[in-house]
Amino acid sequence: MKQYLLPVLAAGAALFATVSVVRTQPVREVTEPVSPPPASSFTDTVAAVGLIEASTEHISVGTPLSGVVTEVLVTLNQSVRAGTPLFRLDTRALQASLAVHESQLTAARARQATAQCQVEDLNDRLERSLKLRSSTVISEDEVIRTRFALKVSQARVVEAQAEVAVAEASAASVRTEIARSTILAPMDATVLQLKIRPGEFAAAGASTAPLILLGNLSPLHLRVDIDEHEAWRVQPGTRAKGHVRGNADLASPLSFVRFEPFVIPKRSLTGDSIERVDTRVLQAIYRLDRTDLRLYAGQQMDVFIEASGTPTASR
Amino acid sequence: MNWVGLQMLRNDRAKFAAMIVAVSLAVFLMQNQAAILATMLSMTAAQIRDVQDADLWVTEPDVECFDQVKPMRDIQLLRVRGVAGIAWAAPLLKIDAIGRSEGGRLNTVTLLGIDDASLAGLPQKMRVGRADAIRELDTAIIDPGGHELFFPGEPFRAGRSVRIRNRRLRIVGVSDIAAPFTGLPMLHTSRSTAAAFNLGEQHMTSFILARSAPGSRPEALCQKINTLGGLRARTTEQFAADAMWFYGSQGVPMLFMVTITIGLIVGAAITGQTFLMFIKENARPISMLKVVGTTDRQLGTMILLQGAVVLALGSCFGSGIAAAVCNVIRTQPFLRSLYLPWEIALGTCFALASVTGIALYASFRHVRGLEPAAVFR
Repeated sequence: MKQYLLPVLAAGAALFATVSVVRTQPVREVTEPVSPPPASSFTDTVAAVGLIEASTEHISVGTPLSGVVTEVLVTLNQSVRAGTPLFRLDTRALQASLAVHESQLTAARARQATAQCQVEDLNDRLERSLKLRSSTVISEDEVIRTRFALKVSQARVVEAQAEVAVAEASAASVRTEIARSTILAPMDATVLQLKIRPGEFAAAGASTAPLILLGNLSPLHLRVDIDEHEAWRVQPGTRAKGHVRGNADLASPLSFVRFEPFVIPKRSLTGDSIERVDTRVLQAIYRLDRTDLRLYAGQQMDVFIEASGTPTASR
Repeated sequence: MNWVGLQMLRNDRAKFAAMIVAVSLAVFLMQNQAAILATMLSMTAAQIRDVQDADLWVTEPDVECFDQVKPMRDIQLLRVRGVAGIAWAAPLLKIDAIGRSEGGRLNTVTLLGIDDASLAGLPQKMRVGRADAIRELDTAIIDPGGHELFFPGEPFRAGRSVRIRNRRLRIVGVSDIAAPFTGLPMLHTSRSTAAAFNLGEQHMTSFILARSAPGSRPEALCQKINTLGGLRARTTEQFAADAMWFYGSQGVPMLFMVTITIGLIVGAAITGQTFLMFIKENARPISMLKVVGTTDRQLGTMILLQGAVVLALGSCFGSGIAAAVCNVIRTQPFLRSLYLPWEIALGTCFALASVTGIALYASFRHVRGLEPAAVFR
């Protein structure tokens, strides 16, 4: 029995070594990503990234006057018709100014009436002095002076009329300013962003942060950046498909709308505050044909466009 | 006849034991050193092989290993996606940053930014937590070695945090990826989170991971991508091999090769010498066997059997010891990837056997030259 001890021990050690070596071999097997990235369904394809936008593009509504906002008349996501008031600016100063101008108008009208009376009075005097002159009660000189006085007062009437017109125009101008203090929707659209609240100051002029962002969301458009190296492979009107980020199974066919004729530097869409120039891109606009997907303007999509020809060396 | 040979071995206990110990130690030494060498080399490729979702890696042309990062333009991803035969492609961002634990421990860390949309390249095995928890903002999963560096001696758990560039990354899990060669903590996080730490760098892609569509050969796709210009595509194994070659040609592995060779020579020398002595000391009984008519061929078989027994027993014990030591070392978080490739395990035994074979042949020649009269010496 003792003579088998060594072989048995050795066999045990060998078994242990075998099990241990086998168990510790690194296991490598092909796995699938948690949510597989989008895959192209075309044989020849140009891959690109697109940004969803409104079919009207995004209209950043501005204000012609600077002022404090007193009232915001729309809510986020509201559909507005052309001409719907969006928000109002503080018009108290303008109203006060209008009151001044209206009183000035009243005053001007009063002056016009006075001048008119004077003309009538002098007309009357002239008629009577002409009668008295024939009976030589008064001198020729007096008649002439009355005639000139009449002419002066007639000119005063014209002056007063002009003053009334000026006062009317001034009042109308202030009324226009008041009307301009209410900002209207330029077209039928949806409110995409509402960045102005009562009490805030709205500055006139171009601004990076829009006060209100409008756009027409039906249909949605996709602005696709195509690398300039690949631009030659894309034909207008070929099939294209957009995949939703995070779930590549959700995809929408795309219909070609147009190319932007001017090739621009691409910004790398990192969501960073500083967008960086990467390469130059041709922008193509496609319409999203599926409407049942939950898609939002400003969202990115992975796009595959059916291409002609195969890519060649480029750099 | 062969039974007689085995009895001869058994009864010369001292030499029998010496030979087994010599073979055991040689096998142990060679396997141990080979395991360390193989592990070290495989560590340089571990991060590449750990990404099991992809079978293609696309990099800038001059990138040789995982630790060399040359940022790629974002548009390159789209160019790879446009190649016919590519099922999908996803970006991977790798950046180095200084991390600081709650306890104030500082460490350079490697941040791996996984594509937010697809999570391609996420660790497959986890010790604690779920890997896809990194979808949440400012979260990461850490590797066991990193956990040990930041929170030494504490049990693995989620919920701690590491601060990088004044931003707190919440640790939501501990991965079970292979240990990296650099020994730096590996933090897997989403690419958007990692991008926030990538200050001053324009491009947000370090590697492009791609998968070949069913029916297309990865090697052919690599060729296709390489002709695009400005890109270099490799299969996972090619890239891993390049990385191992890159580090392997840098000297340290040579030192291990020297140790392994010494193990081989010393083991074989002691075994061979002892065996030769054993045969010479047993010259009288062997010549006695010759007297009774045993042929040289039978004696040769006997010697071969004796040698095989010694080598087999020694190899078994040596491998056993090597495996035991390996298992003990593996419990350390940094050395968790230590393993002995089975090819090397068998190879060391055969290498020793073939070198010892020379001694066996010498013994056989000695036996063949024996005169039956030697029995009277």
